[in-house]
Amino acid sequence: MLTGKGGTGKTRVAAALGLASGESGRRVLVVEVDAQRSALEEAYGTTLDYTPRKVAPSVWAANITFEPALKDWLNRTVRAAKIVGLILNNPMVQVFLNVTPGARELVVLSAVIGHLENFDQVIVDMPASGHAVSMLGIPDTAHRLMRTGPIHERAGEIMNILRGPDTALGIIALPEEMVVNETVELYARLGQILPDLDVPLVFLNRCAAPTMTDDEHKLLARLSAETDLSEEMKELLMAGRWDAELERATADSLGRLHSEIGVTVVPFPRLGVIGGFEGGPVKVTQQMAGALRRRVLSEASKDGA
Amino acid sequence: MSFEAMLEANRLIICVGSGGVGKTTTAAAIGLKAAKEGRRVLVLTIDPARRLANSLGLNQFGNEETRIQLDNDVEGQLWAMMLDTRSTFDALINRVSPDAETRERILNNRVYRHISDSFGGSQEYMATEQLYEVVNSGQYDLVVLDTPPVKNALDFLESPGRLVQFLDKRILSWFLAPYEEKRVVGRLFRGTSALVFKLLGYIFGREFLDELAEFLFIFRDLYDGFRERHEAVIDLLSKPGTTFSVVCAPNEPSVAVARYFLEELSDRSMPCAGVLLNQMHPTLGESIEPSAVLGERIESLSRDLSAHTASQLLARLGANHRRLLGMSQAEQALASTLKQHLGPGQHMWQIPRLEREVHDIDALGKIFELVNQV
Repeated sequence: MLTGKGGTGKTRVAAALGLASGESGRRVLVVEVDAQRSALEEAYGTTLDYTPRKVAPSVWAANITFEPALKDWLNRTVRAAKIVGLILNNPMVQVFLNVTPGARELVVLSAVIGHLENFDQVIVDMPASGHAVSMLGIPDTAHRLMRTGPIHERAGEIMNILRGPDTALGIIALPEEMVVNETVELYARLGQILPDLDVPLVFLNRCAAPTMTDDEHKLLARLSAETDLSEEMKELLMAGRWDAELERATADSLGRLHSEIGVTVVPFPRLGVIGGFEGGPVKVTQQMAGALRRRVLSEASKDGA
Repeated sequence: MSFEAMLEANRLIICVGSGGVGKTTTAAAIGLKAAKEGRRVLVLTIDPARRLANSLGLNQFGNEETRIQLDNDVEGQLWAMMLDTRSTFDALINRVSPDAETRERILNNRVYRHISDSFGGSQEYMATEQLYEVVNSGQYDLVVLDTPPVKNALDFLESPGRLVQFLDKRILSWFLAPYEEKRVVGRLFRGTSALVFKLLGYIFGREFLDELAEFLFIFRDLYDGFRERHEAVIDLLSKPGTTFSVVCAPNEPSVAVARYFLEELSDRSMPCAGVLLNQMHPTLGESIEPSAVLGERIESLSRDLSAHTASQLLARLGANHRRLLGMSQAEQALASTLKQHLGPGQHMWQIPRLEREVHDIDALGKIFELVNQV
């Protein structure tokens, strides 16, 4: 499962992780959770719906929406098709499901987890931080509130999977102070509501590795302090300071994530945008998958040594 | 319309947009600007994350309205508040309960406690409730509302409808019929309805249905109050002095979300001032050759530094600037695309990216210094 502050590139990381993971030959499914507008479609350059669709050899993708998930849920729990139809078409039941808070989320989570039966790995692009936390708390609440019946049982199963050894959650962050603050906060809140959930990774998106020398920093600062700069000079120096700032923020963020939550941080380099966003979103997904692949290879060689 | 005129003309501004576009920061900056104009302003967020506090450089604050310390020469006032679902729910119950006994019964009902505490979507249920309270308290000249990212923002628009739908008498009487006296059961519950109810019991567990019924029994008499409040909120949202404002960053996903919002708001006949396009990279629009522009100066400033520092930095600045220019061109292209989707009377305001991240009042005050209408 992947979550993080909005705008951090969660969906792109999920998409790239799917491609990189599928290369090992295992059957991988990448899903969005009840997305009104699918963002995964853009990342893979194809249309998606509830039924998994192949997007690369050994990689499938889907958008798990409520209505078909409910139908699946009812088929699973009630079984008789005629009765399922009766429930689905009853306007009172529709209202009941729409307004019972949490029902929607539980049904969708159940469908996501159901896919573990057909795939070796399911990668979930969860909602943004706060809403992911509420969603992950729902099975436990439902389990306690509905003390008998299929919801009680299914919520229990979902909780066991969330807590189990084969489930992990990764947080996507950016090298920005506010985003790192929220990541640290999110990590703590996840620990409170689901202490058994494994949260081993933070993906730090759009990083710049530190390549500027101290002397370059010094020189840039001296130039910036000059008083009689032309507009062109100012613009050049501003461009320089932005990139220098990104290098500094990358180092700061890596340091803080290590010291404040102590997880493994996987940095993604910022991708080239010279001449605009050339190659489009699908290219970005592929480049990010490439970065993951190189990391896996280099770690494998380190282990070998 | 200038940005200032838009601020001036409204008493309630609702910021919508996708995540990560600077919505909360923009809402806080709007609040600060209006406070500096001498108005009494409240910035309200229904985002479960503590972003507003972050933006204002505060550690955190709860469901209380908290006054933000501004410079002494500022005439207006800036207040901030984050919605805490549970306290808002409890305040609502206090307000609508006819007597202390009813209030205690609701507050102690297990279904109520779970719904108000932890079920997803409750934040949105309660948002409009709080909004109505603060707008009508008469304490503020302007209320700025920051909403959660896309899907939930729409829930927020629909939440009064959803809550009232739950309490609709027709639905309540269907659901509560088996709990009424026996004769009612005999009359209403035959055939399909009885079967469906039995199935609901099977799916949700009979015990849950019983507790839910108790919860609804208590709430039943409050329906008229909710309906009135719902209508008042819809009225508040559509009347002059209220405007939605779509906040957007110059990247493809958030522009797509902004277009979606423009359409949704127009379909719902909600007033919308237009788009605030944040984080634009300002450039002169021409390529610049670093050595031609900075060559002489850089030599004299780098004599005491290690060899090649000047040439390395010049090469680096060239690459940095090419990236900036490329980005700026792509951003302007996105801006023109988005501009074509503005309706009549709607505007687009571009806000240049600041050099530093915004996490204190000073930086917040700079956001709208360079705003320009396009």
